[in-house]
Amino acid sequence: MIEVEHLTKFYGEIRGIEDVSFKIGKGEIVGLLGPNGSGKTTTMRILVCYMPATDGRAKVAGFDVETESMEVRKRIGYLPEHPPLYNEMTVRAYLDFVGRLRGLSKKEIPSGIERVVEVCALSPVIDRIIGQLSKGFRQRVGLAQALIHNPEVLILDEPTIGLDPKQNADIRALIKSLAGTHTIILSTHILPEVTLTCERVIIIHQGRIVADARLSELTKEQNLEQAFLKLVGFESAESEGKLREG
Amino acid sequence: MRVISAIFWKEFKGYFLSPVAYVVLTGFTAISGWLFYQLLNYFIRITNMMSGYMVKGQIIREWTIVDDIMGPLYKNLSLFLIILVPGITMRLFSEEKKLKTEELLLTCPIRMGQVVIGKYLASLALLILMLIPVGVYLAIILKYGTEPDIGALVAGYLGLFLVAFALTAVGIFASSLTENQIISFFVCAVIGLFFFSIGLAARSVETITVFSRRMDLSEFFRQLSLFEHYSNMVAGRIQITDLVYFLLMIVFFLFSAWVNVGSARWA
Repeated sequence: MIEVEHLTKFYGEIRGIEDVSFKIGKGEIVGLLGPNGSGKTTTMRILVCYMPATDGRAKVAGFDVETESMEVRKRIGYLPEHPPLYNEMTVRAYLDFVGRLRGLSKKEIPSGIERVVEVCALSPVIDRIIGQLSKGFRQRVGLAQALIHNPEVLILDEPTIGLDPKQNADIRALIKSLAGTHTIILSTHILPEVTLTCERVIIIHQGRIVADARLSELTKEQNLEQAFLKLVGFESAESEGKLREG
Repeated sequence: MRVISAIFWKEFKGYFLSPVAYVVLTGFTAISGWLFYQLLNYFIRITNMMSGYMVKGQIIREWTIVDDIMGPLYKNLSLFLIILVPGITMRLFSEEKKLKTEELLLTCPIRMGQVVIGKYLASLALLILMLIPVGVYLAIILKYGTEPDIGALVAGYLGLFLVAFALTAVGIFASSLTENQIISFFVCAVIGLFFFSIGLAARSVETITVFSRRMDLSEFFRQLSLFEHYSNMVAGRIQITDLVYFLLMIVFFLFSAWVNVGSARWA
């Protein structure tokens, strides 16, 4: 469903990602892990056609993100790190607006809104102004926005950031319920999150992929946190410290 | 077309969901009404005293409705637009950048040209609403004025719309430059002032020689000036060159805005 080959992105002199390659099959939920600034958002932004890569190729649903970007955009639902919400609109007006931008026909929009309101449990706030909503509801409106056109691929950048534990569990359950029918990439730096939702993890560090494995394989001998710290080079620093102390 | 209309309605309703539309519409109507009343009042007083502009006891120009009521009204209102138009357009793209909603627009299956046009039309619609009351003053003059020059009066009114349309294109461009609405406001106002005032420079510059070719700079500045072209229309002369000038302004600044919005993804 998603094929990424040798993707590289430089912001001027600064490296965003370098030589990133992976493949994701239909219906998989993949967690994109990495410390802050490791290139998670950059990778996602290239996949959703927000910006072009410096080098390399990426395909979503068989379409190239650069040359067939309109086809890719139709098939992707994207929740950016900051949910793109218009504060003066009501939730209903906003979802209607996004539905039109996503190319839904007049007939499809009401049923689409009904569906995402149901899925994201937005019915209590459907006619409220977005600017007045709590953080949890804002995040869910952001997710509803990404789902309105029932996309094959969902790309979620830190979908549970800033939510309370209850909302967090809700969103996780929601993401899990979408598995199988949707291909999902979600990024996070909260590790327990991944173990609860994803089947597979890709760990990015300093713009490069350092691990790409099924969660069960990665956590066979150690827990995810240990594996993660080892991969991003934290463990060596720790043991060096120990050596020096010794 | 559907995308343009979606953007248009979102922006147009947005003006009425915030105080912008109400402030602009009432403010402009109040000021223009007061100005019209004053000009009319003054015109009645001076026409009672003498029948024209007098120098040394001789009338060198008769008072006319075009030159002494509506002309000054149109020209003054066009100056108000320099402040009001940036107020209307400043948030269009700046807010999208600030609130990161730009990321939604840039990842939807739509063309940025559609977004620029939708937003442009939305602010035009508000400006048209704003300029309608001026048509009421025009109607009053046409009904009660003695032998008004209908053509000139209507041409001036149309000219006012063209000035508004051109400044709106400048405003959209300014808004696409920055996420700061205040900067966006001033960029638009300064570009607007530049095109209004450059005609004043025409009087003081003479012909210059560049690479042994003589160039008439004063004519060049005059042609560049929005106010000169507008003055032609207010005086009742509708010329192709003036219309082309406004069209070029609109196309140039909308195109620049489009390039700018698209360039967000080059970073």
